[in-house]
Amino acid sequence: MSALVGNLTIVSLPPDFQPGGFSCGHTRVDKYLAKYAANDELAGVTRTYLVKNGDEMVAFVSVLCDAIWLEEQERPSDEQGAPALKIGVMGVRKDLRGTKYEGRTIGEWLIDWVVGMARSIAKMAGLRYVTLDALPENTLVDWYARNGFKTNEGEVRKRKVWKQSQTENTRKKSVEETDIHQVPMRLDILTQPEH
Amino acid sequence: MAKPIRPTPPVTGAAAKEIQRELREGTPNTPERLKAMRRADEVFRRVVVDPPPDRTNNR
Repeated sequence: MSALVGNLTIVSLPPDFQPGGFSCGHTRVDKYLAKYAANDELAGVTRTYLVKNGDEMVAFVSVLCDAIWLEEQERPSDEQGAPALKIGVMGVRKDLRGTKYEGRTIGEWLIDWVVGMARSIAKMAGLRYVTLDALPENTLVDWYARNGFKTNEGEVRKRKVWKQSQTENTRKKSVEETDIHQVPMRLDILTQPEH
Repeated sequence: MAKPIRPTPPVTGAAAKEIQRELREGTPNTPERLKAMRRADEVFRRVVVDPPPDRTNNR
């Protein structure tokens, strides 16, 4: 496990961003940062923030606006759902997993920062939840649960992807189920008035 | 490989009922929860991020 030197800082994704050798160990997450984050930033789809320790990038998070909506048949009352801030993608450099900063792991600290951002936005616009889709590892779901997130039960889904396969004479595309489960989770950021 | 970004899918079942209850009644203030929210507020307050480039008018 590597050590941190000094404080962590957070910077917006610079226009000339190069991911370098950053790897959190999850191919999809690394690929998002390397291939999609800059374009999504320009398209206004996500805002990506880099966590730095000195000049070294140690983690990143991409956030976007979201909402939790209830299926129509699940609305016996007037509540239809609520706005949210979503942690679209987040990754901590693999060799720094478990490294503590201010008593928290870097991932936990970054979640704190996003929750703080959400609570700050909620002072100016309606915002009730922080949401995320936990990657398939059960340990990750448990990790988020330990940090206050609840699972949206019944929403463990397989994602359909186009997969190209080649046989001897034909080349065909088919929709196949992958083994990528994503578990939508939520954190209620609203606290009750204290007396 | 698709981008791992998507909106949260509509919620059904027990979680939907739980969310309705949360929206109506709020999530109870437990000491752990209050501590977590205060910690989040403090981290966000202390970590100053340079303003991102203005990308609201970049097309």
